[in-house]
Amino acid sequence: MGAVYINVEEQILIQKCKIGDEGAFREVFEHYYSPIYYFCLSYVRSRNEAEDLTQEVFIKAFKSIKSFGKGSFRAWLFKIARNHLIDEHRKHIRSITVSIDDVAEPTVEHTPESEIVARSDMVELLKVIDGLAPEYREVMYLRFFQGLRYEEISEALGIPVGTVKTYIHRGRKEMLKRINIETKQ
Amino acid sequence: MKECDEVRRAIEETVLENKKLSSDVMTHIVACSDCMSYYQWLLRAHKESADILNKKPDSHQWKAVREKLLREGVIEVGRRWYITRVLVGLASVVSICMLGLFTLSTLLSGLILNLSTVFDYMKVMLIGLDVLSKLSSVMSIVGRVLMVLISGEVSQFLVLFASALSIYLFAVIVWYMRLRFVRASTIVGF
Repeated sequence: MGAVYINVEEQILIQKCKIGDEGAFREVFEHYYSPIYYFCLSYVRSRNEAEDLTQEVFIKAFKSIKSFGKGSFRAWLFKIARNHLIDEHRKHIRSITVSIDDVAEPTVEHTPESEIVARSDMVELLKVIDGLAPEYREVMYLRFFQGLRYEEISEALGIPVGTVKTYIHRGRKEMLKRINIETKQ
Repeated sequence: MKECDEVRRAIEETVLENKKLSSDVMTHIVACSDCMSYYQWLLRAHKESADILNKKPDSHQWKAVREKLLREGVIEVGRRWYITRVLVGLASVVSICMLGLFTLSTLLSGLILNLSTVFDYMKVMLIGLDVLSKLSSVMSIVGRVLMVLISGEVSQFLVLFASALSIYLFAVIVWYMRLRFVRASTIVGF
């Protein structure tokens, strides 16, 4: 698999987490809360749901932290988040029951871009990513918004690095076209 | 001259992974307005995303997670800390017990049960009340020790240990002074 990108401080922190150190758990939680929250928000579009999911992701991650070996911790965390989101989505589909009340109830939609007010370039980037084909969207989001390396994206999504590079190459072309269109309009 | 695609990939690595720009990429960016605007746009967007992603969560978020982790036994107290905790707890209990025994022995040693008058009855009652109040304060301290042992808060432990130690030292000083007083009064002939 890919190279080891983990830094020494983070490695010590993770070792402390493995022996159940509360302070280390808190530090990891505080450091990665926002990236995971926005990742969840990009899937569920509801602030409350994203907060709940973020908490669940961290609990899942902390429970299985002993199984984390080498590699990028960030990528490992995103992998857990993604798997959890997929599981929850499946559960939701299975348990869905549509009633008249559910349909009539107005819903407020939250997206990462609606959360980030007055940050034009970031909003533009997220809007563009959101408009991309589904296969590119996730890769582009992790690369351009979360700043993950190719190898980390490959680890998090469970796809080869070559595929990540191809998706980013195509996604970038598409993104640049859209940015040009938007600026012209 | 490098191709725009290649340069944009290098720009992304520079902006997103903090890698250095090579001189040929720099030359291209200066000459190509599209790559220059892409570089500037990505730089701004990345700065904004970094600001957003570095935001710390509210304390209630952590509290909710901590509660669940404690319930599921994921957060544990380390073995060394556990031993220290028990030792400090025991030291506090022993100190407090010694203090209790010292108080009781001091009070009971001076008690002469000569209940001939009403005043003697009142004296015994007052001494009894005094003993009860001291016992209740000892019990409350023991209760605190137990509470601290269960919760395992470091700061509470330190405060408790310091207070137990100071009470114990005070008791030792009082005991020593009393002995000196007894010796002095024997010599003088009281």
